[in-house]
Amino acid sequence: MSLDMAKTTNSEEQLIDRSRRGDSEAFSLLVGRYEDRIFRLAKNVCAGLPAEAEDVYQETFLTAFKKIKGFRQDSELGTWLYRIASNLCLMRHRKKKSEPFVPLLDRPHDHDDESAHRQYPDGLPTPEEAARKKELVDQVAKALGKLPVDYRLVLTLRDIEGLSNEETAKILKLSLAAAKSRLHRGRLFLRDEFERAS
Amino acid sequence: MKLQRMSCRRRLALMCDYLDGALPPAERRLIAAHRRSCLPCASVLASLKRTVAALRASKTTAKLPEAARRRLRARLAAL
Repeated sequence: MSLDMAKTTNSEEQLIDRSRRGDSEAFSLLVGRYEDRIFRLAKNVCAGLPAEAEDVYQETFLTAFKKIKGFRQDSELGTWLYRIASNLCLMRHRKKKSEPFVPLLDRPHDHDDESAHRQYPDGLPTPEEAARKKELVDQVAKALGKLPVDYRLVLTLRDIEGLSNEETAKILKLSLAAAKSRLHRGRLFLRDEFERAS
Repeated sequence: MKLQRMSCRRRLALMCDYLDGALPPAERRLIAAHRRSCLPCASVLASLKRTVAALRASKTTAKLPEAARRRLRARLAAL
């Protein structure tokens, strides 16, 4: 570990330690390190509902501050925060009971090559071909909004936040195989959505 | 099942790992070879790659509103 990394780690450990003793200023410094990514996760998972995203962001850190005494440092603080935020997103969506139902290509016995190709025709424009980035972002948000929240979480953590499959599985308490399966199905679904929109 | 005898649909299931560079070298070589010989699979792979690129490109745009940042600090200070 480099000296800089060691300093950062120690500093974070110190801030966690002070936060455990109820020091909200120390906790606010930790918040500053993670809030953008937690808000981004909430915004993508609560696609199209900005008020929900802000609530999840606020509740994540308020919950974390209340529970930080129980935070075991065998995982990264970021992983722990992502897990709290993910659970809050799941709870909010389950309460609403209006989860989208989409067939996620769950046809394990269909190995017919012809139908496989028929189902996944090409036609998605490259990002470079998209008129503007905002259009792309809106398109992503709209497509994500059509996925069940479990899949949206996997895609957001893995493809937008750039976490590894292992980290994503750990945060969502899934087996690695289940996380990868949701990722693959979610990507295929989004691919088809993008194609329909183009 | 031997990868050489897999249907295209079964190969599709490996494409996620292929795209992420997570396949063992032998499987990676076989998928790469199949991609060169099967136009529909090559097309699916290309569009999946663009899908992932689109997701990654959307990352930087979700900005946390300053008012939300301030509200959280105030709530934390009040605890």
